Amino acid sequence: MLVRLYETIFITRLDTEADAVEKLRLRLAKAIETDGGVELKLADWGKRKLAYEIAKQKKGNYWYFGYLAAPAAVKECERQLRLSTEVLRYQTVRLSELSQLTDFDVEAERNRVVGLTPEREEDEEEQYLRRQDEYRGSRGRRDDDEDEAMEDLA
Amino acid sequence: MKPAEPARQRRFGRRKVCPFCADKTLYIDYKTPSMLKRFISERGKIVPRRISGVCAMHQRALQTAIKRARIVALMPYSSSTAD
Repeated sequence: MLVRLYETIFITRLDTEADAVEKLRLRLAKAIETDGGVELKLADWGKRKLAYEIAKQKKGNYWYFGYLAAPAAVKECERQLRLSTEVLRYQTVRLSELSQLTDFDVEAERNRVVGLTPEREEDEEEQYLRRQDEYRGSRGRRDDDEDEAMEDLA
Repeated sequence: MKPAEPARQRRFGRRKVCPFCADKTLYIDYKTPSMLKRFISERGKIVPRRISGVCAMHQRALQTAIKRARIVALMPYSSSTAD
């Protein structure tokens, strides 16, 4: 069964009881396991101030949930989070291309997603040249127009 | 408003290098608001790369990261006060 690596962050209300969270976790685990998914990590990030109010709450308890699951299972997972009254907000992000159950390295997958790991190492001179090119490229026509406009004003 | 210095001078200003290209170990992650904070204005707007000097590829990554961070209230959509 094909599964993919996902991570979900969800925020619960501060007054949520521990066993309510545990119940939620069980429901999520059940949803994930239906199609051969595996629960990898559930981390409590603790209390945090929200950057903006959600449902009149200024603070929330953050949870990080990493798992392997089939796409349909994620849908069910999100449905559970939506139905739960304790959850203020949730967000699921897919962490990689197709990944099989057996071999995966969460850390490596994370790096691959954003594409920060270069496919080939550039030597320093190449890097320098490319950066210069990029710099020139970023000074587009719009910028020059702006400069001219400034001159016109002056 | 920009300072009204002559355009010629600005053109030969110090070259900015993308901080993410300079340090390949830096990872743009929506879960680290402390790092992303450098790339938003006091108002909470994403700083254009013409000002921050970030390269196109990393600006794109930053953009998604900041937007994701906003969804889970790790970063503000807008704020009327300075950080």
